[in-house]
Amino acid sequence: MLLASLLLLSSLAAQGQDTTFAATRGERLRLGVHEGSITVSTWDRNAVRVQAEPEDDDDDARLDISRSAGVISVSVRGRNGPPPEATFTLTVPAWMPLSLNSVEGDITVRGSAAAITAETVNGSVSVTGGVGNVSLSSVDGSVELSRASGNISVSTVNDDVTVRNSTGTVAASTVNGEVTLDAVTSSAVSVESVNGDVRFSGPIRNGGRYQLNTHNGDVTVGVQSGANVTVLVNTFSGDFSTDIPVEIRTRKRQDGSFSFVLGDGSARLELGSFQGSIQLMRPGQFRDQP
Amino acid sequence: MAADIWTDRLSEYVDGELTAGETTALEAHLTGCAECRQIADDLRVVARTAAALPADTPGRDLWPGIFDAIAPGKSAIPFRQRRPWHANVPRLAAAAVLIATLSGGSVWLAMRQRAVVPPATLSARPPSATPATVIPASARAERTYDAAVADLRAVLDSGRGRLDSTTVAVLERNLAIVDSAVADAQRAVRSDPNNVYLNTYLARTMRRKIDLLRQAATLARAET
Repeated sequence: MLLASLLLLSSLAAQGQDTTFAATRGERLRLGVHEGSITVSTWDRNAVRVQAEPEDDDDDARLDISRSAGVISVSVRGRNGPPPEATFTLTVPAWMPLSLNSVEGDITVRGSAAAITAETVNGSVSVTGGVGNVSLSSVDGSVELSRASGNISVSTVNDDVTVRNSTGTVAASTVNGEVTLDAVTSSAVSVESVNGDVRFSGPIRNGGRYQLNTHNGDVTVGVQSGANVTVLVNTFSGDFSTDIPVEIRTRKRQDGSFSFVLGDGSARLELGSFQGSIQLMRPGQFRDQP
Repeated sequence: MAADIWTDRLSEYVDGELTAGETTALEAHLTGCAECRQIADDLRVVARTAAALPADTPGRDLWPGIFDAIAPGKSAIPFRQRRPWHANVPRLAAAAVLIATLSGGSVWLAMRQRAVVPPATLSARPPSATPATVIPASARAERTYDAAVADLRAVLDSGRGRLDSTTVAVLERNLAIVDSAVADAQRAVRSDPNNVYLNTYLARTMRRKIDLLRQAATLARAET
């Protein structure tokens, strides 16, 4: 049986805590805070620095850092009563997988080269980097990701979702907000909003599958010259337009829907907007869009 | 997740519209997924029934207009204004049933995979081996949906006190947005019951609400 080793348990009162300890490759870091922001940056040292600041001079606030089964756990707790509010600033090795949770607060990560899970309820999530499983979510706050690669899942409920300059499978969703995927290289993309625009720009890869849907918003897709893709268009009361030449070899028509083929059609691009516009354009034109 | 991917493509599989590679992959999935096998069997039954129906000829072909509009150069096609054509109604009706069957299966699968309440309290159940008629498949899907919504609502309501009031307001506002989308889709289906896209869309929107309710219920149970 593995026993947890306590690295630090000390008061956060007054000026807070600033501690640095060694980390071994293969360890992951888990940080949970009820109320307060989390900011993580990376360095090339095999060490973790934790800076924690209590919101108020709370004599009951305690910083708790422990290590067990390859997981370094960081949290703040009150001696009695609810978890105190605290702001965390961490510096970690770029290789260290991260699991970050907050209920009330923003989460920011810069420069990671590892798996990341970041979840908050009321707050934004902003991540640069991430390799492998990258899962970011909020309920009432925006989610932004750039320079990630791997299996990407990004979602919120009541704000926008943005992914830029990333590669891998991408699932992105919101209810009330826009979803933008810009310069995303992927063979599997699933994007969904209910009340907001949906935008995708990136190479359409042979054999890839791309699904972009919204209810009350526009769908805009940048399609590169020479793409081999079967495009399926679905709308109820919206419209469809294209700024690119469409070479139609086959067609399949259903009521309120139609499809056409570009090149050999090996990729599948499904575009749906119940009552908005669906537009195809060249990637350069996409970037010029507001 | 894999089941969701293939569930959405079973109709194409039954219609023989998948590529050889996709067919191989889907059949490999079917060997290990009883639910998808069941849905595929249902689809074959409905497809055979549909094939026996007489075919209608569309009143007029809209394709020339669409073709002209999407030829090089920017143009737009306001679908709603150009949609009063009557396509192959019997086949579309059959397709609508396929979607109803799929939606029932999809919701059931979603509930199976993501249930946040004990299964015993759910009235959701898998599609029957062979739908006796068209109506029960659709009705079953609606019953499944209603039951899932009611169950998840109950979980959310019981945990509402543990959620921050701002979070509750945000969730309720967004549930209302999804409800509005569901209502739009239901109205659209009522106005055009044979529309494949609309039936599919309605099922997807209903599932979106289930997902959001599940997320809300999970939050209500998790927050302290």
